[in-house]
Amino acid sequence: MNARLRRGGSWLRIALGTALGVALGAGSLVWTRTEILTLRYELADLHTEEKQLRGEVEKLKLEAAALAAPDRIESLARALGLRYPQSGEVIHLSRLGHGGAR
Amino acid sequence: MSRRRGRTARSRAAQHHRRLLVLVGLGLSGYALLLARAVQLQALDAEWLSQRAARQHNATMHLEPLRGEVLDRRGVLLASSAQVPSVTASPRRLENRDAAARKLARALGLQTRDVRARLDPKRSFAWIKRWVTPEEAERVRALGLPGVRLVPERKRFYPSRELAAAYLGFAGRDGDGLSGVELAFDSSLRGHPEDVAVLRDARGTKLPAVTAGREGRAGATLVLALDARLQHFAEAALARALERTGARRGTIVALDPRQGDLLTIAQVPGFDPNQFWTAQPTDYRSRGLVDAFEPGSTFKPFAVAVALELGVVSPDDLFDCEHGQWRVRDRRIRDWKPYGVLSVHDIVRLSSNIGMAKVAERAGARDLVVGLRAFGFGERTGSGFPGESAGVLHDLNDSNEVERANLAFGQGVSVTALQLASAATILANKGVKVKPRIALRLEQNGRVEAFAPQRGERVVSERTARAVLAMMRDVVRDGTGRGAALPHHTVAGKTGTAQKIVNGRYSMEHFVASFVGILPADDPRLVIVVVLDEPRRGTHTGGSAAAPTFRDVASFAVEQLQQMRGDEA
Repeated sequence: MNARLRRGGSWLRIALGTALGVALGAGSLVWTRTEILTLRYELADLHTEEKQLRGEVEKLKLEAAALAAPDRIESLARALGLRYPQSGEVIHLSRLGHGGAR
Repeated sequence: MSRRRGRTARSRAAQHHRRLLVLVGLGLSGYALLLARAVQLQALDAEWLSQRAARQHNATMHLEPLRGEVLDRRGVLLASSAQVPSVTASPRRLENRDAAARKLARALGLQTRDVRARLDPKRSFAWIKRWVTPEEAERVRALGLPGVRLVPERKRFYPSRELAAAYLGFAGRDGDGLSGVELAFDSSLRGHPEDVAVLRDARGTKLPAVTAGREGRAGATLVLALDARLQHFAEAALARALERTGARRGTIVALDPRQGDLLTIAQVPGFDPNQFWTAQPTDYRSRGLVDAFEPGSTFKPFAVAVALELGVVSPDDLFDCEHGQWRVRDRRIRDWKPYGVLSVHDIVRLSSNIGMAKVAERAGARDLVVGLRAFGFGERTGSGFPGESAGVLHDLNDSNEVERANLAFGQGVSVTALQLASAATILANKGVKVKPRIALRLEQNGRVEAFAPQRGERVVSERTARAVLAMMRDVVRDGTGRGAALPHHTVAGKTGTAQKIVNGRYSMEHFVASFVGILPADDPRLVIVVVLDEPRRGTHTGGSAAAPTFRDVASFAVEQLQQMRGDEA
């Protein structure tokens, strides 16, 4: 009888161990899947944010280029009383022997 | 008593054992069922189920590429794309279309009847207005109309507005290059759309795969040979020239003779490519490349170069210029001023048509045409620009005496401003041809595809090129092109005043004034061609209309060249 009980106990341990192992495996599978999904959501948010920021950069670049447009600079300069130098009015220091005038 | 207690204990243990076995049996049966189900799902129905799951979870995201930027040779941004909102509607979902049309029209500055027409109840989708301003988008958002949405779209922007507009061209609403450089380099600029596999959650939200990019494969950045500063100054100089001379329109082309770089291609009037749909096709034609005109006397240096190269004349050979009138068959050729005997050198300097006709007579019509073709007349320059004109240069034989005479002084032939500039680079380059270069390089993901300068064959000897340059230098020093002279630099140039053909006859009222100049004459760094269409009488000649405009541009350009040399040093 005791032997039968002992035999029964070892089967039970094996069965419970297997069940526990399967449950742990399934649990970790679910956890990793959930984690991947969470990361995908985070990634999607980051992609959206990146896209918005890139869009912002594009707009700022365009704005900077529009502000630096030659006709705008010229009209501002003229409003300040500036004019283009005439031929001979520009003296390059490098030609006077002061090379590296940058 | 003790036996009875022992029996009871055994019986209880057996009962526990049976219960345990039942429980274990049930548990194992459950697992067996799970296992069987797992086998069914994973093995027997696997294919069908995975297909079904794939349909539910997997989706494809279509990524439109980002169109590449266009920069000038110094990195100035000339064209770029950005996202702007467009207003769309699902007409079927609108409850009160008339009210919605009224509100949308007010918010977007449109006609109510136009908006109502777009809200056709049979349609499930309609564009209301594309590329709206942030203010318009905000007004539409505030309306909160169901079925009306703001969707992001890409729009091409040209931050310098009219600068080089016809040359740059524009990209249409769907991002395709439609004209100019945008069309010429469309395949490189447009990039490639990509379909990326993504996952879809229960709500249908698309979750990007780790490798998914934010756009399709972006287009390359195009770096043009154009110099935005010089371009701006040339356009400003042209605007002043039009005001001064009353010309209808003008064109300036500037080339670097060493590399063939197209530094400037200006035209006035221009248009704003940011609103290309308001412009007429005539506005966005890059006239310097597409429009051919009779060059008149600016053609003479090339005809003389051919004659010199053929060895039929030398610069000091003398020709009788018949005191201003000479008959060739039934055609009377006139000079703008009567001259007696002139050397070939002075024929160019003083721009004698009769002298040129006699030089051409010695060269012979057939050889003259062959030589002029070698200069690139009558064929495209090979710039690759869409719609570039080849001009017209007819084949002649020696019986075509009148045509031969006309050709020598630039009648009966048509050229583009770029062809004229390109031919002048041959003289500036000691007789060697260089193909005009539009773009310096394409840049994509750190990869650079450079367009090397393309030096071609020798067209004339160095001696011939020098001799013609010397004649052109005297044109500016004390000939018809004095208005082009610069105080601190030598200029070689040639004026041209061509009568336009009106109703099949050469008009005495309508002219094309032009000037082709090379500077500095002793070490050429720049070739500039100025063309003014129909300047008013009095300031209609190449010398009075085009030469001062050349000087205006050249005075700025030489300072730029000095700066560029300084930068290189």
